[in-house]
Amino acid sequence: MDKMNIPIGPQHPLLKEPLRLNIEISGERVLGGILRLGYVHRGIEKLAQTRNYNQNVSLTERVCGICSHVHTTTFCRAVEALLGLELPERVHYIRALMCEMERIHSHLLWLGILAKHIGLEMVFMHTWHDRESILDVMEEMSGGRVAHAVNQIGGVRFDLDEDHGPMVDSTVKKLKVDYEELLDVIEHDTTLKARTQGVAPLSTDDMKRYCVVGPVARASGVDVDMRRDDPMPPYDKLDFQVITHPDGDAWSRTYVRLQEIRQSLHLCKQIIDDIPEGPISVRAPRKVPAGEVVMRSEAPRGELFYYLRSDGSDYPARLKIRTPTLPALGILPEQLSEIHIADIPVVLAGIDLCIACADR
Amino acid sequence: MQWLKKRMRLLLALVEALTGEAETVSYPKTELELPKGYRGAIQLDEEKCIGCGLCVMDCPAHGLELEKESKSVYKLTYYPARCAYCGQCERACHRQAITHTNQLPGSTTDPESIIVILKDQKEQEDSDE
Amino acid sequence: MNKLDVDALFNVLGGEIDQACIRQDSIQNEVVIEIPAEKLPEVSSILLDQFDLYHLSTITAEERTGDPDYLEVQYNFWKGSGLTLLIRLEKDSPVLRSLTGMIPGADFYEREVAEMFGVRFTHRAETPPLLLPDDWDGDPPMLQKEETK
Repeated sequence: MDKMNIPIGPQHPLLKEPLRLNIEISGERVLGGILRLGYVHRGIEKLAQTRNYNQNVSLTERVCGICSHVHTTTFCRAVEALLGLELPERVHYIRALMCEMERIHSHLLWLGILAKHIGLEMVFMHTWHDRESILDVMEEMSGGRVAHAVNQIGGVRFDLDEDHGPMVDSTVKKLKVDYEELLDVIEHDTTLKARTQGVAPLSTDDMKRYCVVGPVARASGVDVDMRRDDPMPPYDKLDFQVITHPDGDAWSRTYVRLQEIRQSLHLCKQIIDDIPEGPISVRAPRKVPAGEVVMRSEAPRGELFYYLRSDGSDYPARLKIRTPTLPALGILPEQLSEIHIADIPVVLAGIDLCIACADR
Repeated sequence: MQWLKKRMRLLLALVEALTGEAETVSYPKTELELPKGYRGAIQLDEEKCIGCGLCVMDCPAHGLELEKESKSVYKLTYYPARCAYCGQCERACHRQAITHTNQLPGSTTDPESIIVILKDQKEQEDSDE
Repeated sequence: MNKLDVDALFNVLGGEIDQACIRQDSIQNEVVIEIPAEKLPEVSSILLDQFDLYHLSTITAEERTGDPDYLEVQYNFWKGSGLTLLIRLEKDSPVLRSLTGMIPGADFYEREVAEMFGVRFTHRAETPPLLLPDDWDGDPPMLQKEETK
């Protein structure tokens, strides 16, 4: 049969963020695809060289909308490592609490998108409704629904009141009930299993060769999680499991992310119960001494890498960001071979695209 | 039994949808309840401000501008259309002179019309002479 | 996962590669090894075959303000702890051998370094731009110009 080339994007109802995909098909089978990024490239690494460190905290927050908090956390930790600051314990717990809530709402958002692409609109409505309860809690604590502005160099900007703890507790309890219903759908619903099981399976070797990180790699059996392997405090004191699954198809990625929601709910409860008293920030000097540092952390999509070099002046000399979506996009063309056209949305949703992160 | 349970759940969901209250509010007809720590428009306590310019240095969006002629003659302007509502100026000020209010910034189609002059010592100096 | 055995790594590198692989402590949280550019494929295959170091976090390139004639390229690896390979290249003709034969995941990182810093990678198909537009004909954007910010 003749081959045909279909361009998808950069503006397309299937995608939320602009990227161009040239798909080569023959009948109903997809033969391959070529990817083109760069439609939201804002030059953040170059901009960071013309702003001082406090301005850069706000700049790194705007790399991505969904995982904004973990970007500022990693940047602030890198600057604090260069300054040699010792932070009070309460700061670490507040930062970790916002990280875990961000992970929950990112995975719920992703689950809704996947369900919508398959056609299960009701699951989309339910997950985004649950997501609003998490965003309400984050808004009460930080003052913003999406732009939280939690971190500053030397600490956090706000403290938890006495009514924030019970609010988190009740939201976690309510979400645990809704979560059981979602797990029931993922494990037993025939439509979802028929659309996702066996689609685009990738082996552990493929994941290692392409250096993929995050839930996509864990769904193919690669056992790596920065919260356990390179823990930022207080994760070394908290109890959680790293979820992996051996199959590597789209259903395993759904299952791994759903189990990670349960682990994050468990972590939120531990953080609220164990949070120590204390100050919420220390005075940080404005001039950062010369030095270089590498900082890694676990964003909702995988390992986030920051490299910062300071030459002693007011502005950073070099800031390098590598976001976790980039290696997952590298393996996308291989996933697109030998599937049907109807599986393209499932594959695209499975890697949890965040093009704003990838382009910077 | 499973058959009945599922039908009951559907019925409950239907009743809740028909009788419960809406998630949305029809703003601006109804008052909007903003959270306590909401980062709204900027306000300045003129007594505390000494014109040091730290807030201007730390603003990532160039939303504040300081024209300074001498230690006591200066003018601080705020551009709500450029402001990122991030809280850096509030944190930079050593005397807590500049803070976020709990009010939404005004919306307009003309960004020039909502510029706010927070403190103007220059005008006072001119009028004294 | 097992952590990288840094001492064993230095024994092997010292034995098999005659040219000096200098160890530095310049980057916090990382073990840094400086190698000459032509030893890159040999060292990478040692890391991959003998030490199972397959995870390349990223490839970072930068210019040092005090060193205007050189570009520095870092290969950041991870296995339980971080390892960085540091390579200094002449800015007039920066050429490196591509690692995509051994680690296909290095493709995107090499493309970004090529378009942002002007580094040329050999032994790979071609380096189309990753983030810049197709019709970009200016200088590599991350290299500093004469006029400062």
